[in-house]
Amino acid sequence: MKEQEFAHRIRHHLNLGADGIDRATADRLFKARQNALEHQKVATSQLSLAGIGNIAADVMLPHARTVIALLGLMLGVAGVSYWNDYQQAAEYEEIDSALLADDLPINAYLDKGFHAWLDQPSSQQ
Amino acid sequence: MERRAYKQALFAVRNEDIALDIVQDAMLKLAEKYGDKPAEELPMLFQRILQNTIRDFYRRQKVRSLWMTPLSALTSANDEDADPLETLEVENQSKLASIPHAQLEQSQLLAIIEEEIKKLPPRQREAFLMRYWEDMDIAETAAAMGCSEGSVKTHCSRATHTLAVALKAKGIEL
Repeated sequence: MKEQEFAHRIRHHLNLGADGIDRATADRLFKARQNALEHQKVATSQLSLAGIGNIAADVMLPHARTVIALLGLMLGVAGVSYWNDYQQAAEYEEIDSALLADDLPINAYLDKGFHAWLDQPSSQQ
Repeated sequence: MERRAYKQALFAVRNEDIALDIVQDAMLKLAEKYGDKPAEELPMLFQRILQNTIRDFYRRQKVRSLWMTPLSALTSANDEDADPLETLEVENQSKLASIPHAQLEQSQLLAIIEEEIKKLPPRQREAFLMRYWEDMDIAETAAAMGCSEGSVKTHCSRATHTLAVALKAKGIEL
């Protein structure tokens, strides 16, 4: 006997068994089904959007998480870059004002890098 | 649908209340998480949830038995002699006594088939029931089981063979 034929005969008996489930169990199963249907998730996005908006949503929604993550990453990189520039500018500003006021700490004159910086022509600074 | 799911859970866990809880949980999860999915995807999703819920039960059972085994060793040894099948058989016989001969034969045959299905290895049983009872195709069954289509074919073939041999050994020709 072929596999399919045998399986379908088994299926026939299994269906009889499922139909013969006792009343109390069948009632409990029916109530469970009703309860599940009451909690069913409704497809709101498809109901509220129509036309071009619907097409855009169909295309964009599956990738929404990726797009949001990429936007977040880009904002983060821009923020870090801006903060670095701001910090560096504040540092330069502090050194410039100390130089102008002749108020540099003594350690600054001992720093080799500082001398190298002073030796550079002013056009490069 | 829920009746077949209940029977599937019952074959796996062999306890009516637990099987009911499993089906209830699976239906609720399907409705809450996948209620907005296309109707043609729902049977496959439901089967996947159902099988996962059954596996969760096995996992919990395993953890519980780890705790219970040392405790049960402390209880009376008299309980070991008690055979739960004895009471089950008496109950079944008393029920069967009131029904006509043809129905009796049918219910006995069904009981044997169901018992042999319970004995199948879990993955073979899942594949067999999804393919041939739930009418899911090989691709859907593979997706629900999280395995390859080749594995589904192998599971189904082995399950069918095992069932055929077991039934034949009991003198049953379908």
